[in-house]
Amino acid sequence: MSGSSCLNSLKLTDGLRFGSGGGETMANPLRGEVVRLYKNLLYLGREYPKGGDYFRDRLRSAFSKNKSVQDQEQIKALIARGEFVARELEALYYLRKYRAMKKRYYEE
Amino acid sequence: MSGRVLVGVKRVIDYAVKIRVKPDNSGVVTDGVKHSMNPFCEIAVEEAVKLKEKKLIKEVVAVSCGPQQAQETIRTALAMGADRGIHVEVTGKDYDTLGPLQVSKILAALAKKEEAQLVILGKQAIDDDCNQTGQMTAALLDWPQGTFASEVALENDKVKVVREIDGGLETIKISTPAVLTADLRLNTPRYATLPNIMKAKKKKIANVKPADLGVELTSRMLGKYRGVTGKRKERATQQSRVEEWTILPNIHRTIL
Repeated sequence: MSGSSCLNSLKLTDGLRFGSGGGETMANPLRGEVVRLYKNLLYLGREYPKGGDYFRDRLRSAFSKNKSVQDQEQIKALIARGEFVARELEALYYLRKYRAMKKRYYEE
Repeated sequence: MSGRVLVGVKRVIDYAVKIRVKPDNSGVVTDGVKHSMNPFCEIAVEEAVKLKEKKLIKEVVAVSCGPQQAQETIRTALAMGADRGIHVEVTGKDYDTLGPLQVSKILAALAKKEEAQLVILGKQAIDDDCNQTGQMTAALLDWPQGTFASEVALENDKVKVVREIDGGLETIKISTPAVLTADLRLNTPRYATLPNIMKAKKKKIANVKPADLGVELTSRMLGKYRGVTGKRKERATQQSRVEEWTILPNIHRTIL
């Protein structure tokens, strides 16, 4: 799957600081999970090869795009996608490090 | 057997950082430079945590020697699954001359004090590439050593170690207590994610001074090697970075 569509499909529930938010007053039960996911991805993104700022901007816009999704099942699917991105990032970081070490210390 | 594993972790300049030599050629620029846990130490921590998850050992203790900032490295080890940490405070001139001999003396003293069943270290640090601390620690303790381990199997009071040596692999069986040093292919270290780091804040880090362990830190080295001139070193690291990027474009595209 293309990377940008993956991030774009992540969602953001109402009431979070950034994004204008429609002014809905009902708190979604999955809100805590979404916030946790966002914080996780933000933390992971600091080491992103193209720069932490680049990642953070893309992350924010991706979450904002899905601001108004209300359907629980849809939200759960989007959270799962976000967790997938988090695993992909961990894999990226690990591979970079492994390849760097392999190149430096082992004859190829 | 106490079921306690001591893991040594070292705070080094991050592997991805471009190293810069100081203008007076006296060393490498470390101020304001990103530091992280030595990659081989990460593998050592992962192996210890794996042993605990398999219920083969009971407690993982992470140790680091250095100034205040060494605690960050211990926190990372705690986030990866270590139970508690020990920060051996070494600062100033003592830290500048801190080398494998001094660290191995500290680790040997701690291993005895904590009654460790195993001491697991990374095979070498990426900043000094000494590849000596593990071996020296084993010698000081008169314990068997399984170095360059690419596979570790703990069976009661014996350890089966597959070692990566020139020309292939070697399998040895040694009795515990023992010292192991981790090689690259031992395991895949887990990432210290934010929730784990939050949980790790509750874990304790004890503060110890080398004198408390009866260790003297005087250096036996007479002089410092000047090394390659700045320009050549910089060009070398830049080249390898460019190659790294061309290898990984597909992974980048998948993520963002």
